[in-house]
Amino acid sequence: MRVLGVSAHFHTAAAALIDNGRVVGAAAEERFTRVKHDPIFPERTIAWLLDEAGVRGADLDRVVFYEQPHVKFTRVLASTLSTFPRHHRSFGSAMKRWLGDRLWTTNKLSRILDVHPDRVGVVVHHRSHASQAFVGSGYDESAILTLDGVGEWDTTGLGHGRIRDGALELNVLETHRYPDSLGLFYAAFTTFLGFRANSEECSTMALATFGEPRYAPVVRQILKVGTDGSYRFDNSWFDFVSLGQAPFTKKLISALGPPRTPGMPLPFESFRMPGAEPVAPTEDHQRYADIAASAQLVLEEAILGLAKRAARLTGCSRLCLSGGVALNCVATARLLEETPFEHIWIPPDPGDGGAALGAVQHVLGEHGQLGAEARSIGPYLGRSYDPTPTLDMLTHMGPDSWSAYRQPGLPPPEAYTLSVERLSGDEAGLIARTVDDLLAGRIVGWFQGGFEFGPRALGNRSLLAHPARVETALKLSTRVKARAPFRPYAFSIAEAHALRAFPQWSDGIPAMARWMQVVVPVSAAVHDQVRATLHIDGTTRPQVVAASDNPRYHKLLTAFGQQTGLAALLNTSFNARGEPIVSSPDEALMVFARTDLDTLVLGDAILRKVYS
Amino acid sequence: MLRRIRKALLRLSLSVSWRSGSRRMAPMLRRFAMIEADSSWQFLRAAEVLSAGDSRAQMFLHAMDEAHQASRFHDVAKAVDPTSLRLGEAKRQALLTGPAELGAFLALAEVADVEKKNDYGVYARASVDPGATALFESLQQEEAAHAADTRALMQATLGSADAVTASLAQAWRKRLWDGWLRLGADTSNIIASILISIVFFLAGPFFARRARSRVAPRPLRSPHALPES
Repeated sequence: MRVLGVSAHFHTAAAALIDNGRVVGAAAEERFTRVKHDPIFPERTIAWLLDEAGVRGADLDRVVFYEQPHVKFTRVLASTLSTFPRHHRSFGSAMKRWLGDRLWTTNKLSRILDVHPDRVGVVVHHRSHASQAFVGSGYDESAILTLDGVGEWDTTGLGHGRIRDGALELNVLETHRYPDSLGLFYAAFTTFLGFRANSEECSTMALATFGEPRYAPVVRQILKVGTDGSYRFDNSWFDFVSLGQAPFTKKLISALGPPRTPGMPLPFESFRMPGAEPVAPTEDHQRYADIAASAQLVLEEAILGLAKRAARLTGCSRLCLSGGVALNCVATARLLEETPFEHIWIPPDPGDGGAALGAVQHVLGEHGQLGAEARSIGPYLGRSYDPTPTLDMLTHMGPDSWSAYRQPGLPPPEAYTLSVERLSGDEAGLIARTVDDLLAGRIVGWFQGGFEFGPRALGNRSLLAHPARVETALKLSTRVKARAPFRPYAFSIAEAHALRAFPQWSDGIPAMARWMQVVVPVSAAVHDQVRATLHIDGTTRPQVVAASDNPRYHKLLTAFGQQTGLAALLNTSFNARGEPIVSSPDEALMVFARTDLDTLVLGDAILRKVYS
Repeated sequence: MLRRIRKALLRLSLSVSWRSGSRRMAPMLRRFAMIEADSSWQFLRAAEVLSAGDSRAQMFLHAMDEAHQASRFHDVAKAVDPTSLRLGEAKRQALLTGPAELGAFLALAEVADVEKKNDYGVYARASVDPGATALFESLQQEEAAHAADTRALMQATLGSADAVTASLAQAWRKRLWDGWLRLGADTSNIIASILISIVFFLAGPFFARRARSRVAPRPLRSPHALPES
């Protein structure tokens, strides 16, 4: 059976294709359009998937959209009308979008792909998320929590899943309904704190570490977590219809003070050079950090309550999580410690992008066709590229021709020449040279194979650096990524060394640690070796890499460990400011050329800036 | 003639909208950043479909230049109004899908460069922020250089002067046609907004109460009563 899944129109559109049990690929449209979190209909991703499978649209057995557009439309209609006449502008723009395009998504799929309308279907939003959470875990039975902004009407789902002979039995036991939404709650606080909703929630999470939850009593009035694990939301504090602008009411402002102006600098630093004096935060800065800490704490309380409820309802020892809120890796860390669940699994892309794959898995499960590959989903599902044309292009240009296009705001670069080494068939040489560069404090762009599905760079589109060298991390923040100093980095570590950094995992490394989905304390014994990747509270969000996960990246980590004693590398996403993670070699080269990235490893070739 | 009318209208609208202060310029600067970023994307896609190293390199460098201009617009917008957020991005529509279309693509690029050069001159004169004025003036020169480079590349690609002239004429026609379509879309958008507003204010009162009950917070939908933990 050949099934294409599509998600679109909210944020991070994506598509996924499974062809007779083989996962052909899955990718977010942003990787092709270079528009971060692009919600547009994913026609480029679909074209790539069909091309990769060597089929036409008409050859697809089923095409499935990840939610029910008609049901979602009723929610949009009701929410904009409910405040009549206040939101007439939102009503107008929503109606134009929905009546002009979104309502007819299945017809559009049928038309574009030349598939008979009978073969185009929809899956309920939270069932897409639940399938995505559970099917790829490889578990035969599990509790399932979907923690989202909002789908059609439901915002949170609690369920139970079982797979027998390739057939999926998915039982959604209970749901919370709009506007009782954990995702919208956190997104609204993200906007209050001057970050972009549905995009910069990670900044709220990082900022929370610098604060004390002294506003928690107020926030608990907004999100009331019951002792039975359910929660209620008081929407007199928020106005979700205007989520993009100011989704809060005067009541919230009078309780917490004025919201932070977007772009206002925050003086917090997750790391600084030894001996450097910290900048003292003002009262207002500290207030924002305290609000972030309070929202984070109450969110964690709600998620913990739901998870405990799920454990009691299902009696399962395993939990699968999905939905955008599952990316809150501080909250998910507490699930490991404070709930009865022994195993927790989160798919590589738990958000709406991943739901495209979930919709496919749901359809296959209905037909009893969930094979081994569809049940063991890794993150490396994106397109791979041949870097040869990019390398050939370098004989026609070099630093002289691109020096004028340096990212504005960066200090003048040191003069350099470009060295290009092609090392096909010499993987050991490639790794040895890369390790030498990392040891010398150079920042390395590491570009290998197919790109990752989901928001994390996991060793195929990564920027790497020595994890102990704070000055290199500062250079990475200021001269490559233009990253806010309060946002910490993380590290990848070879499985064999993981227990040295995380002795608390002596009973087994949690699945969430494979793809940077959990924030945990790092053993003080290795702090000096990973100083540049620690948040101020001594935690990090690790990626524990087994040889089977990503062989070449594992070899690189191991080789680095042989030199330093710890097989760990600072790993962050390979992108420039405001852009999605790079997809193609040309895009990687552009970041290399426009910033102070020192080395670029493109497949089997090493490009190096040789400073004079 | 059309170009002069367009310039005059642009000058008039800028003198009104930017008169009240430089912060009003930020959204426009963000929009220019979007346009330049889209151009960069177009040239990167163009580079990807070309196999010859030299023309691919030229496309790549052009893409990098456009990305650089986008960054500069973002930075000036941020300086003019630090609170302004990035706008939503333009929908991508690749203009080049195969090597055979390279000539037509370059003609479109040259036409766009010429238009940007003219527009940036108008913006430079209307600007009320020294940083933005300097940027517009500098980009006006850069766009002129882009247009010249693109013309040279087009001549190398198409061979004859006649083919270049024909491609440029076609590009101008396409530009006009796209403008006409945009005007039509904008007009229908305004009409749709008016009609929807009328429907909203006429029908809204009858459905508001029902809508309120639909979105009112409800207890957890669960058949499972659980004891307190």
